[in-house]
Amino acid sequence: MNLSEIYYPHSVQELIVIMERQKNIQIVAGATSFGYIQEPRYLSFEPSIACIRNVPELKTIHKTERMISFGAACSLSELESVYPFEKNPAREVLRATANSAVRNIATIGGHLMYQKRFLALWPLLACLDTELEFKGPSGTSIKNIWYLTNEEGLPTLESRRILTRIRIPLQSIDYLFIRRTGGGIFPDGDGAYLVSACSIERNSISNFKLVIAGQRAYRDYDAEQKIVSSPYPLTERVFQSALRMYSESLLRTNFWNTELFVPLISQALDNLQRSSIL
Amino acid sequence: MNIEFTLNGNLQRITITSVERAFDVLINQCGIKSFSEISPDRDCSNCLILYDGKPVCSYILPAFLLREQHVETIEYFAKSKEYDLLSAELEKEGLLSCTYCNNSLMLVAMELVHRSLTPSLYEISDILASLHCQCIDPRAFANTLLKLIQQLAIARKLP
Repeated sequence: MNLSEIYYPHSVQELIVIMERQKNIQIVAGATSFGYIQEPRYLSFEPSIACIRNVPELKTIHKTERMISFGAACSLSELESVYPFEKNPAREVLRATANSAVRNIATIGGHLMYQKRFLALWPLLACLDTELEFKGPSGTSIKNIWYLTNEEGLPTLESRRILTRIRIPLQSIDYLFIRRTGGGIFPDGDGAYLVSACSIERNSISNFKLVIAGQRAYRDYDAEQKIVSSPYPLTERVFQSALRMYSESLLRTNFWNTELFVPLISQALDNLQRSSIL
Repeated sequence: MNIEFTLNGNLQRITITSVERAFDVLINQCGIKSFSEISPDRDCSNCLILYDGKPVCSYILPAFLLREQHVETIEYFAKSKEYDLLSAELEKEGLLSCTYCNNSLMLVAMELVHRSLTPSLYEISDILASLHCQCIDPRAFANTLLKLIQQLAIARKLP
């Protein structure tokens, strides 16, 4: 049973000073993953813990004309009434992450910084071009959420930096397709989410993203580009060509079962064709 | 380390370590008796507390997160008028749950009763889903709860 030293910083600045001094520090806000995963009665953490639950700047939600920004310590429940979770099917995914007694304490920062896999909201936020703001002793950096993956499609987290804000551009999403496969995702199941988001302007597809994430994260930029700028509805040629590209890249990367996901991608594209979004 | 927090309206000063769960500290140091033992798969809700007014599982919560928070357990509500009214109404409708889930069920009911806005049926179902309780009909429970909330709303308007 190793006891840790606990710090309660009042600001991000104070937290960064603590991080500079302490080498092995665990940043904790809701701590649900620790409390849930660890079976022993007594919990174990790194030698130092920084509890950021009450850092005011990490608890705010800002909205401008162009984007919405959540503090990393906002609970999942607090996000239920804001973009993109205020409407189904995004709200359903948020509510499926955990029961309300867990969502009341689990934070969006902890959800995205889970080291072992990509949890339920990750593919949705990746489809929405979410940017993450990190702060550390060397300054502030802003990265697209996709930079949390490595070439193997596995999570790579920033060390010695803290996720402070999650920024999502406000955009008109005309079509959102979400399917869950497999068993559980948290803490270590074989489940995954396939999310596809699409925007349409003047009978043409202006934005298209399709992300599969669970144990690994997958996306095919070339196939997306094949669809973007195509007339809507997609011609049979573009439809089949994009589907073939997805099939080939799923086989090439071997991240996900091609036989399972190609039909789902086909369903996503087919639903897009048949949706009454115009 | 020493922490302070408000438990059932009273300031608590306790000594905790990083390894303790809030559940154990509330029982062993604060004398809370309303929790049942946690099921081995932890898919129960017998550890529910109101943490800054919202239901949270105290078993997955490290004790150090109690610092400077407001915590309520069912003991806080057990002598209230709303608790008595709801118990009577549930008994009348044959909706009393088993002793294993009863405290958590009544705690979330009290949270819903004290909300400033009347909860929707969906919100009630959502919160009941946290309880993993198989012994009540969620819809009947929600209807009884909404009836009580409406009665209390009328009562609150009276001088």
